[in-house]
Amino acid sequence: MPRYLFRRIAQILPVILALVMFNFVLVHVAPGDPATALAGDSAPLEYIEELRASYGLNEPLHVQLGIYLQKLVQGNLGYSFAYRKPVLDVLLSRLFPTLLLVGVSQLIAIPLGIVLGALAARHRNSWLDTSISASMLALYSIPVFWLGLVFILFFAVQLQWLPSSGMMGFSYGRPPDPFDIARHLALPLSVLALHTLPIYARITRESVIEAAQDDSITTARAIGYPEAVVFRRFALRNALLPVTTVAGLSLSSLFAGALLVETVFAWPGMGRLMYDAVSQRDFPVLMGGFLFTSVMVVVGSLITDIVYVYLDPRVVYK
Amino acid sequence: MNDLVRALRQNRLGVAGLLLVATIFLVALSAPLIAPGDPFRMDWTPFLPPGSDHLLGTDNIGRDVYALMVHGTKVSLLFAFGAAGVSLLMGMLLGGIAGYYGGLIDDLISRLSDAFLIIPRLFLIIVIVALFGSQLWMVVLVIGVTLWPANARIMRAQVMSLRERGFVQAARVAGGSDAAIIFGQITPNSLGPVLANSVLQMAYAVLTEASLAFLGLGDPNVPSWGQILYSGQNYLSSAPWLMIFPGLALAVLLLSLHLVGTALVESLNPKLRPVRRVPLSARAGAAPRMEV
Amino acid sequence: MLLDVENLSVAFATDTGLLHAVNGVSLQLEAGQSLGLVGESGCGKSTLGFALMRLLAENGSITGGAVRLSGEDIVRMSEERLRAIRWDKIAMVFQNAMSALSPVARIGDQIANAMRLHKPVSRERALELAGDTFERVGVSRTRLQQYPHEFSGGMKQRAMLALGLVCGPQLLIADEPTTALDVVAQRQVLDLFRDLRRERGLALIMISHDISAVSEICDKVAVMYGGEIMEFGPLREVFFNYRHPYTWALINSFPSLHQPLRELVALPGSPPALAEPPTACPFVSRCPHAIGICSAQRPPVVEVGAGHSVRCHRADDIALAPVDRGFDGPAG
Repeated sequence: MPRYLFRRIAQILPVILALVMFNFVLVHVAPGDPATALAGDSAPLEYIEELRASYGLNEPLHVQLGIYLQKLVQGNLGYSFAYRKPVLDVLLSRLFPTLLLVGVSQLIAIPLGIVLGALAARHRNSWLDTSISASMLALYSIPVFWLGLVFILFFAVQLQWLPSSGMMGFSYGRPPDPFDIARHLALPLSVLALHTLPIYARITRESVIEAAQDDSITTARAIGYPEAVVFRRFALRNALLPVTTVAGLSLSSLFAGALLVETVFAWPGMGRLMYDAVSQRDFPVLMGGFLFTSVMVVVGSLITDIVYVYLDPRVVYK
Repeated sequence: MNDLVRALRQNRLGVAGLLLVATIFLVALSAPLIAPGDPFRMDWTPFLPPGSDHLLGTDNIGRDVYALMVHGTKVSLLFAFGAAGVSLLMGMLLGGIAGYYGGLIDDLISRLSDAFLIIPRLFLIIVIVALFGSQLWMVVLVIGVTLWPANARIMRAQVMSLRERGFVQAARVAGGSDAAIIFGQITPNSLGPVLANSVLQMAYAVLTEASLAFLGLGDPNVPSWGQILYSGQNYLSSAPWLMIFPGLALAVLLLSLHLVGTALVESLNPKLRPVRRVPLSARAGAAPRMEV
Repeated sequence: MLLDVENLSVAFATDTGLLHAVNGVSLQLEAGQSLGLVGESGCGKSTLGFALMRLLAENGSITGGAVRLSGEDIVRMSEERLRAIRWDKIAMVFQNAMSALSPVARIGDQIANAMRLHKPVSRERALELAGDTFERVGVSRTRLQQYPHEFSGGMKQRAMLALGLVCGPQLLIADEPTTALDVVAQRQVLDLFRDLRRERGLALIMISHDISAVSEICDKVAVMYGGEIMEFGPLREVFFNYRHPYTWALINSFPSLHQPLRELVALPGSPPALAEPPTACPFVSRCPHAIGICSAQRPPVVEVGAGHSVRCHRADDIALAPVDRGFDGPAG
């Protein structure tokens, strides 16, 4: 296990390095002055000059890259003039709301998706399967930001049950207010959960159906295990492996969904931050956010790999 | 290829999806006929609800939503075919090279596609569009470039399994060049799975365009569904039609692409095809087994 | 009578209609006896094996006949009763041992759990007995801890055999049990079968295309072709006094290690497609002795000796040339 982990980390480091390089290249090939791309539109001229010096923008490219990497290693992602704070501080202050939204929604979506997918597979080709599969496909086809707007229109505007935005729970200078957070979380949470639910339901259904045709399932039946046990202990257990893989691979679409949901509901997370950065042309925050999210996704996929190893004894030896 | 057509015919939902896509295609083609004139002209009173004069109402600056929607269809389809097409070409080329030559080239391409698969695609696209602007063709290209790894993977696996087959070996012995073998022998025989995946990627491209437009990163010079949503979201309660119609149109297009894509993917996987059963009347003995 | 199969038929639903894989098969087996089920691949012998446990794929079904185990009809049994006798009374060793074991559980646990499903024993005791069975099939009991992927192909085959034997069934169906094994291991497994028959009266159905392995440990032989049993009877009768042209052809197509190379009899044509229930002899297109009636009527089962039956119109009026034995004579 430690050796496997070590190898996986060794595989992931180049990816992160490539991302950093990519960011660096973007700054330089972007139209206009790299200094503007590094500083953002709201930065004053003096700062841009200062930045030109501190990033060595008049030096040759490899020197610039060295300075850039050095700053990154020190945790310096630049300075945001829109927020008058270092980018890393801005990002970290938005991390928790995003993790809360993403985490809780997945705590709902993953088990529910697995249950729905397993039910559909268990009663394959029945009306239950048809209705689950059809509704999952329909749900999967609804753009998440539109689902958010529909929810706002229905639950916040028409029924006035829940607020659509305006949460004060994370405001500065106040203790967090769990009740306010929960009330404001309800709608974005449901939307993000509904958005990701079909991914898990569908892969569970497919991999259970495939696993149920495995030879080891015939053996389990031949031994005389009741169908329910054959299904749960053998077919479903084996099917969870691909589900884990897909959960890891869909992390990036999960964060994309979170970005859109946060935008719709003005949820003060990193996604909303990115959206605001786009409209304010706050490039340091935008690029820092991209890098930060990428690293989170890469690390998240590493975690799912570890879960996979725990579930499948074969992996260690591959 | 013929297998795909036959498989699709057997799947009723797939056929329904194909018909819907065809209808939407027709709408896009006949846009100048069914919604003549510049869709951007602001000739009417803002916020007119849907009615006989304006089928889908007017927007916040007095444009006809119906005309915007009809012309927006073109953008969605442009992204569907353009971005998925770029991804298809790149994926087949890079995946084909990786699978055919193996070795270092394969390692390089595979690592690159692994990296592309893992990074948050939408974030990357947003950064690029924010830095470089939102010209239509560039965004199509960028989305296509972020999508190729999935196709490359499929193509690579196909090529690796086909490479050792008899007809490919025969072409090689007969002195065919690598390019002739890859494009003449292998590509036509591995098109099925890549095309099935491409239909799903078309849906992804449509969704990405709409998401970008919804975030205010759409090309302001062309009408698109996401753009109507972008401006309409501020008038949810006063003019809900600005939000309802483009969203529905998006959902219908995505659903039909998903129906076609799913039907194709399932038809290529024998394990997922519906099980045929011996009719009850022909069976002997106890009640039929529980199904799993 | 331990096993009495009467007129058993099996069909599969396919895209192009029903496929009749097994048609009107009858055979009998006493406790402690062993039966070799031989034939080309695709003749329905594995399907017959699965049907005896009512263990067909989802698109398959028994369409007629009866399988009586100690008088109880498996075809008409309740699901509950079926689960109770599976593995406890009738077990099966699958051909594809590579994939037949669950990849995510330790082999010892898989065997012990199977045992505990049918016998009231503790986990510790079940593991102990699993270890005994492991040693019986020639695997060290320390390997109970391991997962299937840590076993080689031959080892998996033996682990599968241990799984099949652990509940002490009355009847074991072994599908190509020696195919994946080297010669030494084959010998061990065949000896084990012989011992188990003697010790606890285990009845064995060995599905194999290896005629020499069958001739070594079986008392009875059933020759299958096109979903039907062409010839059935005591080993000596079937292999030395065969009355069916197909048996003759099968035996002559089998090479021998002990005799100089000779020309093997190659049959022209291929086994029939089984889209229709049989209305003719399935062998008719390849049979050198076929006459008009063979393609017009399904041949009846003709009793040609004590417990020796043949499904052939011409069983009584053709003389099949005695040829070089392509296999070793029956043991003893």
